[in-house]
Amino acid sequence: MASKAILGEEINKETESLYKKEKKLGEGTYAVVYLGHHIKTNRKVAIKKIKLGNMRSGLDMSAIREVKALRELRHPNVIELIDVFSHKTSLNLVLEFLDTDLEIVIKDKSLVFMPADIKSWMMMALRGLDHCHKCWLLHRDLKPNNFLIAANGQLKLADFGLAREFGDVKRAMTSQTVTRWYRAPELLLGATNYTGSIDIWAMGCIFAELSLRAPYLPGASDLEQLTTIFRARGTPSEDEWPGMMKLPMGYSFEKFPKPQFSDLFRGSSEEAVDLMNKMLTFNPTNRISAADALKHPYFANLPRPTAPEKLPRPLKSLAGGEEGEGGGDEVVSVDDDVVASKKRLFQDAFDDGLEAERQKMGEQAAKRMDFSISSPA
Amino acid sequence: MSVLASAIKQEIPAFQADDDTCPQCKSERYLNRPMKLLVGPCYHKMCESCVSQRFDAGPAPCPVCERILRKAEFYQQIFEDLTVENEVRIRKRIAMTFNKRQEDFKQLKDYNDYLEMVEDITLRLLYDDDTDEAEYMIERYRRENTAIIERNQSKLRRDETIQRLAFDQEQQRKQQQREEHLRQLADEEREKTDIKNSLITALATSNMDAKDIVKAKMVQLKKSSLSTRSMTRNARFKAEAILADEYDSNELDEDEANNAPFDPSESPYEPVDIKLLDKYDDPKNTAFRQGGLAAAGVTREMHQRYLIEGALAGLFVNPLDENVLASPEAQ
Repeated sequence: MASKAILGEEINKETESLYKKEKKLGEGTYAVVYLGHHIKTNRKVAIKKIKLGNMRSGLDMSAIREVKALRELRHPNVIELIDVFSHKTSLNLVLEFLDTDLEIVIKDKSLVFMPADIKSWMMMALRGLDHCHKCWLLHRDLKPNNFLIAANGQLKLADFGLAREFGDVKRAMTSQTVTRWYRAPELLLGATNYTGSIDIWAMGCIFAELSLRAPYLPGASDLEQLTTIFRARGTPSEDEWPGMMKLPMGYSFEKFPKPQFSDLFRGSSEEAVDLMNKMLTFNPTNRISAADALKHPYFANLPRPTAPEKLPRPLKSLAGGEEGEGGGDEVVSVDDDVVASKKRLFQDAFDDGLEAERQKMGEQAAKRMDFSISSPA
Repeated sequence: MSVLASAIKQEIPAFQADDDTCPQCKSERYLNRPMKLLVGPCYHKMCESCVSQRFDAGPAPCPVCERILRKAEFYQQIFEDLTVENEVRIRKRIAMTFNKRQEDFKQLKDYNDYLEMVEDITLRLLYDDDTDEAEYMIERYRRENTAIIERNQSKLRRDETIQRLAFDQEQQRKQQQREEHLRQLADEEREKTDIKNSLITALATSNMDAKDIVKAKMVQLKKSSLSTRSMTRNARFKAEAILADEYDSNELDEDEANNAPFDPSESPYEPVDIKLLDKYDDPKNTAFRQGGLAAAGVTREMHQRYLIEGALAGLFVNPLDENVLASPEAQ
């Protein structure tokens, strides 16, 4: 036993000695992110140091989730977890270094998106997501700033702090997950078991956001989120979403008519709108899967998706550098209990200046997109 | 170029028979030499004047089968046998939509499957077997593959243009060759007469021996004609080489790399195809009885797939080649 422990420690030390920390990129409540490099190959890495000292109940749950998920996944469109080592009482995740994220790209108004660019991002994102779902893993926190962008333009799915396995009906899952604006209606209705379709809903919202350059469904509170969705997409009927009332929080909602979806997306092609509609279908059973979405004619038809190297990217990746690996502030303890996730959302909105700005932008977008006007009463 | 296209361009004469009779106005070819018999999409014939009489005002029913036809749909018959005519038209139409080439497929098997499907649709249309479904399949295919169809059509057009260009150039080249040959003959003739004339003057004026003069002149004659011939031949070879070069560099592949077929759902992993049974007996699983799961998208089938895949995970997966995933962004 003793020799084994020593061996483990030696391996750990050896791993640690492979990397050198350079400078601090950002700090959150639960983790600090450093820029570093692999000493031999000089490959740039991000080292996410998770503080353990102030934990009441052992290791932070999101760190466990992240390591568990990333150890399973290896795909060109998923962030690579290169190594894990411990140092005194902290856990260090060595992740590949990526300079910017999709949120920064969306917000940089000096960048112009061509339809082919959006297609390229969507294709890379869906490939990464499809891989997760094939491994029976839900990301559960898809939003533009969790899609990091590598120097060569490759989009990578990151921040697996909320990821978990799905498919087992016997284990209940929390419905308090996913950043509010990207949360699927079944989660808002309190479903305790769900599938990859919740990630697809978020992808649909991101698709719409890429086209609009503003959040598509910016609800002000959890309850209001559902109203925002219904206002934008029409309240689903019992035919459209059978069993909706059987969900824990299902009750009779205010009936909104279905607005003409394509009116809002004039710049998008017919196929793009069709795919968006399929991703934002109310009934999760009918919602398109990541694999099927990739087979949609939208991707096969012209224009071809832009090559990743040619995609627009912000001139300064400084902000991206600071947020590097999904930002330390992302790493918050969210177990399957409501309190923690409430706290997390609270933190998201107030801790982060970016988030506050985003909120403002969202409100503007909401004003601009008054769905009730365009729809015939 | 297809038979039909060249027929439209009047390169192939339309089919005519001496005993043609218009079934509508009963006028015969014997009395009306220039009569044009046209065939409609329902393969009923009519002469040109009958067609314009009947359809000039707009779509009208065919007098035989009552199908609504338009004037533009009538065309001149090319083949004597109308079933052949029909088949050629159907195949032409199918080829417009189903124009994928072998290079659009990653594997030969996929290409063969595709050809099989196309042939199946064609035969359905040919033998009037479930045409509605065939039409639906064509429409669906068209909608799903607009980009590839358009790309291949433009490729086809480009190929045709290149072919036509090559053909024109070949014609031109032959014409030039003929002219050059004639000019050469004329030149040689002139040279011969020149030498002959100079020989006569030399014989008349020179003091040398007549035999020597004749010998020298004959040598000169041979040399000159030989040299002109070889010179022109060399020049011709050169010209041909230049022409051939031009064909090749006809900007054939300006962005062939950009147009290489790609698969949106490409993955570095080989999918492991696990066939599920239709039904599994799982009496202990009561979760699905309560309802509510379906509304969240959780289906019995998904759950079963999860359990089976979980049980078999990794069994059929080959270890990944490290190079496949060696991150290209390693800095």
